[in-house]
Amino acid sequence: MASLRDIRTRIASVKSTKQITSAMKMVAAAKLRRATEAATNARPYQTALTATIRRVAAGAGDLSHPLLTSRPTVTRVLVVVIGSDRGLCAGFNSNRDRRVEELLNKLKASGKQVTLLTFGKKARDFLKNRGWPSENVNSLSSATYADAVRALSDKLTTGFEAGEFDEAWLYYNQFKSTLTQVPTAVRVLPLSIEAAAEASVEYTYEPNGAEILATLLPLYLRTMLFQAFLENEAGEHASRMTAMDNATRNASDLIGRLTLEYNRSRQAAITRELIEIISGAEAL
Amino acid sequence: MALEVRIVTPRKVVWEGVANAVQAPGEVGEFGVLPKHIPFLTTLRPGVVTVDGADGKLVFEVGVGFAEAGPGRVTILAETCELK
Repeated sequence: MASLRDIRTRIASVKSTKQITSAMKMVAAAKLRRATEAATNARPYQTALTATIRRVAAGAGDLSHPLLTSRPTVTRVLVVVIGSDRGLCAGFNSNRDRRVEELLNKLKASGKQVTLLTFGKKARDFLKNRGWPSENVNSLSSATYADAVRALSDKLTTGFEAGEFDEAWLYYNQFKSTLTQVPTAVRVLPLSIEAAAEASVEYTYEPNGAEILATLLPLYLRTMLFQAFLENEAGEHASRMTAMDNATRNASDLIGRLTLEYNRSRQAAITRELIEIISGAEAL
Repeated sequence: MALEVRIVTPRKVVWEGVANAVQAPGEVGEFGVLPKHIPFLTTLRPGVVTVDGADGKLVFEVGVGFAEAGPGRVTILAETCELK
């Protein structure tokens, strides 16, 4: 049986762990609030933009633009993974990375050339360990999203138009609620746009339809990516908050159990000493 | 009949409300939208958007973006926008 001193040390160490996890929970909660706010505020823009594009698609009947055109044979595929820099957020990264790996293996099996682009250390490290080196961008914060997204969407559009890849996929965690983040895969290029179901209207374009489309489509792509980054961040904090909440609760349970054990062995030691004294006195 | 106006940026909805007329800087020139405008879509240059709302004139500074007008609706989507 562990000595009294051993138990005391364990209790102290669990207590300090609990302090850390509960502090991390608070920090994640504060960051989560800000991140969800940002994601929610950005949604109307995406919704309005998508609605407009779909109306244009319905009015124009047949849209044609390089970014919308599927290649007959797909040989090179770009996979973009948005992850987090830090761990301690339960299955947030690993759930997504496992799906990414599945896709990568499938692509490899069918003889496609794959290029990987990852955001966040966790995604990079996981895939690197599985033998998938990737180009990587780290230390993103919400302040630098706009720039990162612009760089990424430029890279995607120019790369796609230059034929560096025939298809691009995006993996990220969709933020459903604080408790659920859904690992999601979207094909970002070529873009797929559904025409609106409502009665189509013929638009007047200024300067002209083709030029408008050439501005709208990259904007649409960029907005989609921006939204993915925001949701991913909200998801990361939500996941970490839940994980840290569980950890804090487990620590409390453990402290309770240890304290009970501590008291019991203290009582046992006292009883033993008393018995020794009494039997010593009786022997006299 | 009035116009339902929405001015939206990626960060937030800047303004939403009912107006009588909207003026905006289109790619090929300044344009105004009144109710019953034909469906119209244009890109925007950075400049000034004026909304003639129920409670007076509102002036916004917008960055690049685009505007969509319909018979009873104007949507302005801009990278940046600020109420002046």
